[in-house]
Amino acid sequence: MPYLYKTESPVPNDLGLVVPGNLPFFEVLIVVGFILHLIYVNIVVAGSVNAVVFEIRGIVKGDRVADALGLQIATLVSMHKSIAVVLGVAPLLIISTIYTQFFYPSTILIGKWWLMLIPLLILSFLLLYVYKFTWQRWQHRKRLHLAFGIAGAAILLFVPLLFITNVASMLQPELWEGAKGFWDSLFRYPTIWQRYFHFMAASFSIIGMYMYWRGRRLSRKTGDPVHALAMKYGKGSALIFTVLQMLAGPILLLSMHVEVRASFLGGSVFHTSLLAVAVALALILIVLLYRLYQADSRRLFAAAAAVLLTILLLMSWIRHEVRELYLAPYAEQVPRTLQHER
Amino acid sequence: MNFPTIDFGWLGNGNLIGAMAVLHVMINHAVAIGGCVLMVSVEYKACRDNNPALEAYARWLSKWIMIITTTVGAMTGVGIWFTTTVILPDAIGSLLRIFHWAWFTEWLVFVSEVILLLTYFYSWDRWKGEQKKYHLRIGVALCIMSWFTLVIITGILAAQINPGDWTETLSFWDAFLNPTWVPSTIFRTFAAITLGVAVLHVMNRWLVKGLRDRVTVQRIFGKWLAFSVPMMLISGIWYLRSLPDQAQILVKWASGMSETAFLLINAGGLLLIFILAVTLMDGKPKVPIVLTVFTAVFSLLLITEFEIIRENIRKPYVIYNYMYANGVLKSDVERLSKEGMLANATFTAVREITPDNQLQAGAELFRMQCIACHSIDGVRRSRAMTERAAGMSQEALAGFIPVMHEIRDVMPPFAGTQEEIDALAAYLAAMVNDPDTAVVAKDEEVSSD
Repeated sequence: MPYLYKTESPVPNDLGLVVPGNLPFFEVLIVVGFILHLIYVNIVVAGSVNAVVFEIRGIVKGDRVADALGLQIATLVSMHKSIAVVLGVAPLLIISTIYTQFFYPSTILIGKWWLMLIPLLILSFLLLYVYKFTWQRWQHRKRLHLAFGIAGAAILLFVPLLFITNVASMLQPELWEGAKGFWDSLFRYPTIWQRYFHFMAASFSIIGMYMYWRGRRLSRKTGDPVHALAMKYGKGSALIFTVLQMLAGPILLLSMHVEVRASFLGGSVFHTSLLAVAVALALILIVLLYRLYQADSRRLFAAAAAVLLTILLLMSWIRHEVRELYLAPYAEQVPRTLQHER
Repeated sequence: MNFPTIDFGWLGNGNLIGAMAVLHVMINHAVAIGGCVLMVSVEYKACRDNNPALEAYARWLSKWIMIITTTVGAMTGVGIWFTTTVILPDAIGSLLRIFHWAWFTEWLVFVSEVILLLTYFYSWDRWKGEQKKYHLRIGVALCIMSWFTLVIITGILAAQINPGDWTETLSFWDAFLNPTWVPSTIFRTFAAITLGVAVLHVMNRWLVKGLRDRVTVQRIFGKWLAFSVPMMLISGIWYLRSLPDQAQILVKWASGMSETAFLLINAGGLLLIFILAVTLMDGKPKVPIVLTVFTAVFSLLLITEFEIIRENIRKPYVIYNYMYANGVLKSDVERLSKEGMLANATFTAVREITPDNQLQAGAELFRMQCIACHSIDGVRRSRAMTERAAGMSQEALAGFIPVMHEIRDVMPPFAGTQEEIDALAAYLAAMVNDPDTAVVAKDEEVSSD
């Protein structure tokens, strides 16, 4: 059933009450707040997978060290997930306040599955608590134990699709007409799977850096082989998945709307420079990680971590610029309420 | 209507928000606030008396408080936000515009709360002897932060029913510092401790094995309860007096009980909880199991009743004197009645009503103006149209809709033209009296999911 619109625009009028603050200030907050949230989410999603991977490795090879590392990661995941959730509140609050006309329709259009996020995440977190707290007690019931880890991680692998679908949908109101809920939307908006690939590669790259950093810090205190394994695996994972980002990034860019893409490929000096700096830094990061992989070095790691954090900040900024480019024509037709009429 | 509409059918849109909110309040009040206060009180006693059994109990409590608050507690909190966004976007969107910075501050408090909770749980073995006081201090800070979350959100909830001068000034401070904020904050604070004791004292029986230790723990619980119940009563009366007149009148109605039942249940409930306080302080290790179970369940029912009443007495508004419960602005009703609701909607399959699409137009209007509280058929019978409009003809409905807000104080006025009234009446009559023909219209409805 086709929608008929009051005006040419599929975007509703803004609410009558003014946006309570200075827009650029909100934008800085959302870019910084979002990347903080995302780093924790990356660690939680990839960490829940890695805990399972190391437990399986422990079972298959009879490797106690891998099993112990699995438990350490599971413990980290359970702590970080609480922070990831709470850090998500600020960006969601800001996006709801300043992009109401776009974010609310896109949310309601996948409304039923959007609400499913709540029971799904509760279930996943509870499964992962069982997974962590029974690790020692269920040493002789490994299959059962593993089932909890796999189920918890599987939910966490699914959940980002809901968020990605929502933010991809809010950028393309022209595609809302005829949208039929979440599963339909998953294949309706052209950037969803590319974003998912980009996000997953980032997750395993970041968890790699995190594991290396933690292993390195702890191995100075004790000569535990668990920490040596964390370092070795961590730097390998960081390297491989950063290289994969060089594939995921361009694929995502290619999936974007032709005008948005053009802005980043020479159409706009500002956008092109922003992307160029990020790509150059990513290449430097790969070189640093490759050298770190060959020989451990504190300075190399510190440099790599600094470059990675800069890239993350740039990515969050670029993500914001992409949103602004997509929404610019709509924002002109149906402007935000920035001043009271009376 | 600015936004797409959504239909949770038999479950009922409003029930979904209510269920999420009640579950969250139960956990937040009983576990996050009440539970933390009790846990830290037990740890304080353990430190002072150098009693490892009490410390072990506080530690056990901290594990379960962490598990429950970081899963069901945190996610249902986000859930209230999610359900309202999907079901009442105009209302939550406007509240976010008014209270953005209050919520932002709340977020900073949340972050501190989570970090303190994690630190508290993971640092039990960190300090020994004299230095144990550092751990205790983290606990005290945790209690304060948990309480702050309540203080801030209560300002927003209180403003919804009593926004003070805000409707005139549109000033954040006028809305936040409304006359209902302080009494409702005090009321909720002591309600939280009361709930915490009522629910958690059940655990004492199984988890504190030593009889002398159990008496000690029960005394701590009992003292908190004996203080909280009268405070709840006093602040409750103050809270009630601070509400708009119309809302005060609605309280008994909102509970869905007769006057006698309302008084008996509430006064009796409080008295029973007070008896529990006295019994806990009495110094006997065994509390009657009937009293234990009954007060635990009853206190949860009381908080549920409170939340239902609080939501209901706000009617017909969601933001008092500004926005009706269905998201229509009070100031827009006149305009929409002239221009038409459908003509002003962004997301609708019908813009002009014809004899062919009348039922479908009615379905759209039902989703726009009724579905926030009502469903066609549904679990909550008092809100189901099959109950409320049973036996009413299309003509009777068309006569009732334009005046329903005059006949029933809790109903908002219908915002729409005569044609739209007829379409809604036709749709309702068909759905209630002759669902088979109405199925056609329902199938053609624009479904958002």
